[in-house]
Amino acid sequence: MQTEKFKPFYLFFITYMTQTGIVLFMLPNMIANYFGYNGWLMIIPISVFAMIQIGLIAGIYYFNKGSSIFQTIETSFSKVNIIAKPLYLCLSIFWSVLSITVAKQYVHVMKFLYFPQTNIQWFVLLTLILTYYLVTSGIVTIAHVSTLFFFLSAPMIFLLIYFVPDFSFLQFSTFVFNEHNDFYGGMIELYTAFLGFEVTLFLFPYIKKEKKVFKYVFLGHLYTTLLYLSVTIFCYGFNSFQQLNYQVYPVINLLQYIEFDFIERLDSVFFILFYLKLLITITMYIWISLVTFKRVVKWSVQRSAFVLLVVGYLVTLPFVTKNELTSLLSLLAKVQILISIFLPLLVLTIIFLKRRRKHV
Amino acid sequence: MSRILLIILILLVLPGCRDQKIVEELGFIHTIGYELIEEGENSGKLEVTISLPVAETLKQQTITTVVETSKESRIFLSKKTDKNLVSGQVRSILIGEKLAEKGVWDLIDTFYRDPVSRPTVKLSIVKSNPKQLLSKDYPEYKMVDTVIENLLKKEARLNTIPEMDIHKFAKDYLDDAIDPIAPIILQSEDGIMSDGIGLFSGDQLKTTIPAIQARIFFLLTGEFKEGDLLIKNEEEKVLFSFLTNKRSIDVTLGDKEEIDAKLSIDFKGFLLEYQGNKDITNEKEIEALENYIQENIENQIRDILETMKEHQIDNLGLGKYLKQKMDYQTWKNLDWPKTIDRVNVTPSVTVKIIDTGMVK
Repeated sequence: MQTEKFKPFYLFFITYMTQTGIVLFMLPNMIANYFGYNGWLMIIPISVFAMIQIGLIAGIYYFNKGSSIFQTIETSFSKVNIIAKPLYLCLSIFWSVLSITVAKQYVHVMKFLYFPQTNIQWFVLLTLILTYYLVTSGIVTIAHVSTLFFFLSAPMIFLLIYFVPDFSFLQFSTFVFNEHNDFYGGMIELYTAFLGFEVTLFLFPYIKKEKKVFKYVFLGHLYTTLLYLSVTIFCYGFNSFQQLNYQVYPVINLLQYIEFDFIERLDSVFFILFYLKLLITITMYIWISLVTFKRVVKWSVQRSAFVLLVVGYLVTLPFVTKNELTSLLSLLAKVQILISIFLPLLVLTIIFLKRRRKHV
Repeated sequence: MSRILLIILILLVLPGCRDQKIVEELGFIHTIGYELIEEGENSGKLEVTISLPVAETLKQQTITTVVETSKESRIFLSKKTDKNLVSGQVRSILIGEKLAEKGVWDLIDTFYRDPVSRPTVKLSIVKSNPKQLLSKDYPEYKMVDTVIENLLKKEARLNTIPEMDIHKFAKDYLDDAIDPIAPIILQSEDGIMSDGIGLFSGDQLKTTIPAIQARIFFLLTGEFKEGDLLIKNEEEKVLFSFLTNKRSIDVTLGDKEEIDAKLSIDFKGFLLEYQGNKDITNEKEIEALENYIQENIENQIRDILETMKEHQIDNLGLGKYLKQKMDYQTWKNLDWPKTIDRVNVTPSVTVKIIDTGMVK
C-alpha cells in the first residue's frame, strides 16, 4: 500500500463523490412514494442523522490521533485476531459485492436507456477494468481523480436554471406527508442515499495532519444534501405530485425535457457523465474492501484487487433483471447502514475501554 | 495518473462504437397520426399514419396501417418501407377527434414509457382525419409535418392554442386538481389551421373553446402576459393591445358547501384600432370604452366557466388554488372536479387605456 498522504480538502470530493450515485436519478420518485406530498422535507432530518454519524467518525479520528482503525481494533484485546480476521474477510467480500451491485444497477439502467443493443456484460467488464486501474493506483490518485471527475460533473447542477420558468409553487400544495406509504421504510431507503461517508473511517492514515480535517467531510455531506434537496424540490415544482409517483427516473425525465436550438437529448450525455461519479463510488468501496482484505491476506495489491473484483462479479452474476438487482442492492444497502452505524460505535467503545484501562 | 486517465478516456469513448445507427438506413418518424376506425370490418381498431422525411427526394413519405394497439404499428409500418423506423425524432402526435373522445392515455403512456421518445413531443387533436391531413398534397408546403410543427409553435406563442406536449399532458392528467387541454388543428381548403382548445375530462375530449375565446382562457391561466385582444360586437370593434397583466385567484371557503373564487385581472395597454361611434378623444368616452371592454371580457370568462361546469371539468386548475386552502381530508372528500358547480366564480376585470394611438 502507498504510504503517501493527501491534503484534507480532498475529503470533500471523496465524500461527495462516494455518496451520490444512481439513486439521485430516482430520489424524487422514491421520496414522493414513501413520504407523499412535500416529502422533500424528510431529506433534512435524515441528513442531520447522517451528520451525527460523521461526527462519531470525526471523534474516532480525534481520539485515534489519525492512526488506522485496524490498529485500534487489533490492539484492543490479546486474542482479538481470532474474531477480527474472519470478520475482516466477511466485510471485505461484502463491500466488493456491494460495489459490483451498484455498478451493475447503473449499467443496467444505462443499457436500457441508451444502449439497448449492447450486451450488459461489456459494460460490467469495462467498469471492472477501470475500477481495477483506479484501485491499484492508490488512494492519493483516487483522491486526485475524484477531484477531476467532480469538476466534470458538478456543473450539471446549473441545468436546474432551465426549469425556473416552468417551476410552480402551486404544485407543492399545503399538504405535508399525506399519501405516504411505509414512512419508516422510506427513512431507511433515504438514508442509503447518504451512505458513502463511512469510507472516511478507513482513510485516517492517509490524511495529512492538519487542523479541522473533518470540516471537509461535513462540507462534502452538506453539498450532497444541497444537491438532493434542490433536485427534489425542482422535481416537485416541475411535475405534479401524482406524476412524480408515476415516473421511475424523474431526473432523467427532467433532463430529457431540456432542448436548446443547437442541441437536444442532453440526458444521454449527462447520464454517461454521471458514470464518472459512479466510478468513484465503486472504486472507494472496492478500495476499503481491499484495505480490509490486506489485513488478512498478504498478497500484492494487484492480486488482491483482482481477486476481490472477480469474487464480487461472480457473486452478483445470477442477478440480472432490474427487480432482482434493486432488491439485492436494497438488502446490501441495509446491511451497509448497520455497518455504518455500528462500526464507528464499536471502535469508539474500544477506544474508551482502552483509555479506562490506561487510567486504571 | 496521466496513464490511468488515458486508459479511462479510451475505455469511456470506445463503447460509442458498439451501438451503431447509420443515418442513411434510418427512417426518422416525424409525425404520427392516430384515429379510431368506427365503421366497417376494422371497427374499433386504430388507424396509424406516420410521415417521415426522405433525404434523397427532400420530400416526405406517409405510410398508413391498421392495428389493434399503438405499439404493434411499428412492426406493420416497418414492412412498408426500406428504412429502419426509429421514433427518437418524433416531433408531433396527431390524434383524431373520435379517438380523443374515447380516451388517449393508453397512447400517451406508450410514448411516456419509451426511453427513446422525448417528453417534449407535441400533442394535438385533429378535427378531420389525421391520415387525410398528412397524406394530402399541399402545393404550397414542401413538407406538411414541419408546417404542423411550426404552426403549433407559432400559434402557442401567440396564445391562441396551448403548447401541449407529452410531459404537460401527463402532468395535468395525473394531477387530481386540473384536467388537461390540447390544441385543435384542422384541414382547411388552402392548408392547415389551428382551431382553438380542446378541453378534456381525464383523458377524454369533452368540448372545445373557439380560437377567439382561447386568449381569454390563457388570460385566466396566467400564460397570456402581453399581446392583442380583439373585442367586438355588432356596433363596435376594438383592438386592445396590453402590456401589463396582473392576474390573481383568491379562494375563500364559505360556511356551508359554498366556495367563492375571485378572479381578478388587471390590464394596462393601448388602443390600436377602434371602429364604432364613441369619441375616443373624450376622457369620459374612453372610460365608457374601458367599461365596455371590462364587461365583455367578464362575460367571456363566465362563458368559459359555464362550459367547464356543464361538463364537470376544471381545465383552468382552480382545484390547485382550492387545494391550498383545504386540509387533505376535505380535499379528498370534495371529489374534484365533479363538484366544480359549488364554486361561485366572480370575475373582476380592470382595464386602463394608457394611450389611443398616433392620431386623434
